[in-house]
Amino acid sequence: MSELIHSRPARRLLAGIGLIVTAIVFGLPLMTLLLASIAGEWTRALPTTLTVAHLRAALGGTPRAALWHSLATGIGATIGALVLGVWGALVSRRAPAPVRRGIDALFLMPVAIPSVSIGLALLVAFSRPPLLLNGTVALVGITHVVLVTAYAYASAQAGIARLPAAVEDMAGSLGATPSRVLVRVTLPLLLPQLRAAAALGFALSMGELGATIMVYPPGWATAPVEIFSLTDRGALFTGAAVSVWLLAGTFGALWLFDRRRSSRRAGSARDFSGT
Amino acid sequence: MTPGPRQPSGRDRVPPQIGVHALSVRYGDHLALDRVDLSVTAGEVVVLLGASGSGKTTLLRAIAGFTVPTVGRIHLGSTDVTAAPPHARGLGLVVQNYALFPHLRVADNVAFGLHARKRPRAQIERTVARFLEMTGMAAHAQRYPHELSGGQQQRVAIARALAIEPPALLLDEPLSALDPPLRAGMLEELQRLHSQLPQTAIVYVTHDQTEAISIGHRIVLLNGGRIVADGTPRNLHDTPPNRYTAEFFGQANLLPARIVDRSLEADTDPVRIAVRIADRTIWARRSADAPASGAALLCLRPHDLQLEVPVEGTPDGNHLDGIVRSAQWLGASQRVVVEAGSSTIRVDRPASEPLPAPGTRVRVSFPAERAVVLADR
Amino acid sequence: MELARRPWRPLVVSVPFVVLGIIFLYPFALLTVEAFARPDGGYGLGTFAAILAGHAFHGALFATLRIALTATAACLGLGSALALLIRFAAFPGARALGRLVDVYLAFPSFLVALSLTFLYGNSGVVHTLWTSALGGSAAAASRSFLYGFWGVVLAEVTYYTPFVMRPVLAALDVIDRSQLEVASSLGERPWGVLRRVVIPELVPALIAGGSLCLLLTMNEFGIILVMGVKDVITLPMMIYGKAIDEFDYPAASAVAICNVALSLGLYFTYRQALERVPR
Repeated sequence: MSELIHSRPARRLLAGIGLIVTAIVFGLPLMTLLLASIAGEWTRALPTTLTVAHLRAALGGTPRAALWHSLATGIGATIGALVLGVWGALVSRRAPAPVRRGIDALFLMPVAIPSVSIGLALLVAFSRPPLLLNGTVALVGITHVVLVTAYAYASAQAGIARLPAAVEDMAGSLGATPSRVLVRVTLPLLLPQLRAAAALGFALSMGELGATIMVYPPGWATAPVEIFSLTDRGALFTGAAVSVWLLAGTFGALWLFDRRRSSRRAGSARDFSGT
Repeated sequence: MTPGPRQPSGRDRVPPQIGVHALSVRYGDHLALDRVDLSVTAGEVVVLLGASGSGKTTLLRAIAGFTVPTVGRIHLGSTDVTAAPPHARGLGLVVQNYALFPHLRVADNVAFGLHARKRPRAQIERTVARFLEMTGMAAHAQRYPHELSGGQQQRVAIARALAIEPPALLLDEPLSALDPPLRAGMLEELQRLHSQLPQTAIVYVTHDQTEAISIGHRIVLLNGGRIVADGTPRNLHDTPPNRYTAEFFGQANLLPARIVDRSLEADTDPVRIAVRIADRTIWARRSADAPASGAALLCLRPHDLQLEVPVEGTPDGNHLDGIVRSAQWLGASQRVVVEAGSSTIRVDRPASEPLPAPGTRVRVSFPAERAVVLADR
Repeated sequence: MELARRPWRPLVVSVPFVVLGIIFLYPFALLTVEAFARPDGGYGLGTFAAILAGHAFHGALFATLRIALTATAACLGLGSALALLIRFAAFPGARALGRLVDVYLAFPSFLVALSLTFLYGNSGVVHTLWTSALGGSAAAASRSFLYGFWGVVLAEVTYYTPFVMRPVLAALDVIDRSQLEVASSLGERPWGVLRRVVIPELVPALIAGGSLCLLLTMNEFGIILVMGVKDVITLPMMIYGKAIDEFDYPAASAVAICNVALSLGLYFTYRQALERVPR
């Protein structure tokens, strides 16, 4: 699509502008964060010495625990949300159109609600009988499931919409039971979308702050909460180091989950346009 | 002002003419156009005909300014536009999928080029009304493109291209997105439009020989980036210069032949030539590029052939004996396949004739002026 | 479907709804109840009315809308400009850059705030360069713009611009290139083709991307919290403050109800806008 710019110098100039703006707006902050995590003396414009002390400190004590908590929450919430979201999408597929719109609204609503409000609602609801979960790790897990399910649902639904026509009916006509069709045909066909949903859900859970900060039990901070309390106390460089580990963990997992074209699909699910 | 073609305006319109000189276009290793020359005079309808990949679309895009030639020049009138961007060329372009602007109403689509030229409002309205009227779309002026049928969209696309009153109209496979029944009507429509704008040249790209025959004053046949034939439809059909043209353009029986010593040629008619096929001497016309001697091809159009009952001992003449292999009734005509020696000859006859039985001995005969000798390439 | 004949089918069908009911609908029902709770144990409109009438709420609502609208406008401008450059300048690596935008969407937003602190904060790279250029004495007095309205807007623009670029890039991909060619053959210069053909065809994508951006910036919390902005209180910040600092759950719930209503209203507008985006 270069129809609009005929002259090569003009195209070069605009490309240069595009690259420079992108670098300043998106690249520079990330670079600075990486730099801060290894900065020793930083009294001038740029650090005068470099050190791995922050990165090492971030792998000990409470930061280390927080990273583990995030990892565990992320894995647990992703699995829970996948089960719930896929289940919901499979049910909504057979529902008549008006019912399906209702199910869509229910499952996708959490993405539209401010995360602090979700955290508050869960805190209020589970601080009283019959479900007393306040101060438990389970509440953190539930919170993350609520936040991530919408993405799993949207991805599964997009996958279902793209299922090759009549393949499942064909399997059924060959004598497979419905549960066998689900396990051997439908779910394998949905696998690319499920992997993308898992990758995105995990990444979002790892980075979740607003709802978690409302519900986390004392002593069980996740990495984002830990980063906030570190930076709030002024330990900016340790905070940056924990951030770098958090990002490394997140993108490492993204890469593992969904090696093929993960980012593209994960991104496309994030605007939760669904089908 | 960017250097560009002179805008045709009012009475003193320059004779619009497209001149393409030794134009080559290379994409990496692929030579899409190979030293092509073409000139289109005012009011002429030239069809660029060829299979896909023949270079016809590349040639049209080079004229329009979307493809930069590797070497060669392009002139519009007396102006060299080789380096001019498309917007400075002032040519009307109509493409296969119409490419109407979806967010603009029909009238605004037609007015697009006039707004780009900053014409006064009153003039724009007049011109738009005139071309919508001419294309029969006046009643749909306030519609959006998606509310129109394919044929209607094509009329709007043509009106939009004509509204800038271009010296030449470039049409890139304009009918291929239409249903076949609509195409004939659209072709007549184009001819009617052209009769109302007799000074506008048309360059029409197609792969369909029926379209080419019915609209082209001249047909330029391309193959592998080169022009292989250039002439009137009648000319290319009756005396194809080479094998590719004979096969691409109409149906042809092509029989290998040897040109007989030229001394046998009749003095009275320099285009007459004698060739030998098997043990017979056949008289035929000579196509312009036919070799002077040696191997050549005899081109026989199936509908120019007649079937006769063979008579023993008939002297030399324009006929070949053979055996009917198959005969098929095709509604308006019948197709008989005759095996004559090592060659297979297709014969199209009126359906009213009795269908010959396979195995029948027949004689295929034809007048010398309907047989053409051409180069085997 | 064969499942219909099985007695446990209703159970299978209802599981996801029961679970979501417990972990999502039930909490929001109780949140609503909490907002109407009176200190004496009864229920009434007292808390609600007091919150809605208060200056703090008005200020937070105004701040939320002002930040969200400013950031969204900037995201729309920057996002569409970058998307157009990526597609039309066609520079090497442009495609990769388009994909990198997608990766950015999985990034936690509050890290942008932290990064910008190192870049533009009081002791950050840019601020240090700036103040040393002005002379050492000014450094102590001046405070970076980052800890106010514009800092929040900058962080949100940095983070949310890809959310606009995505639909715009997708819309640019489906624009028929022959439309651009016909437009230029009709005599329109590149800038005119952009203005009269490309941009009008991007309008649905801009509406979709813009309303998503507006929704997410209105709900944004992590950026403001981590940046340590003291004088900009948005609705989510107000909820957090009431609940965590003041332990005033009824007041927090009342603000949350208003915030949720605002967000859901916007969300359904977004869904409708999305249906008009050609796919």
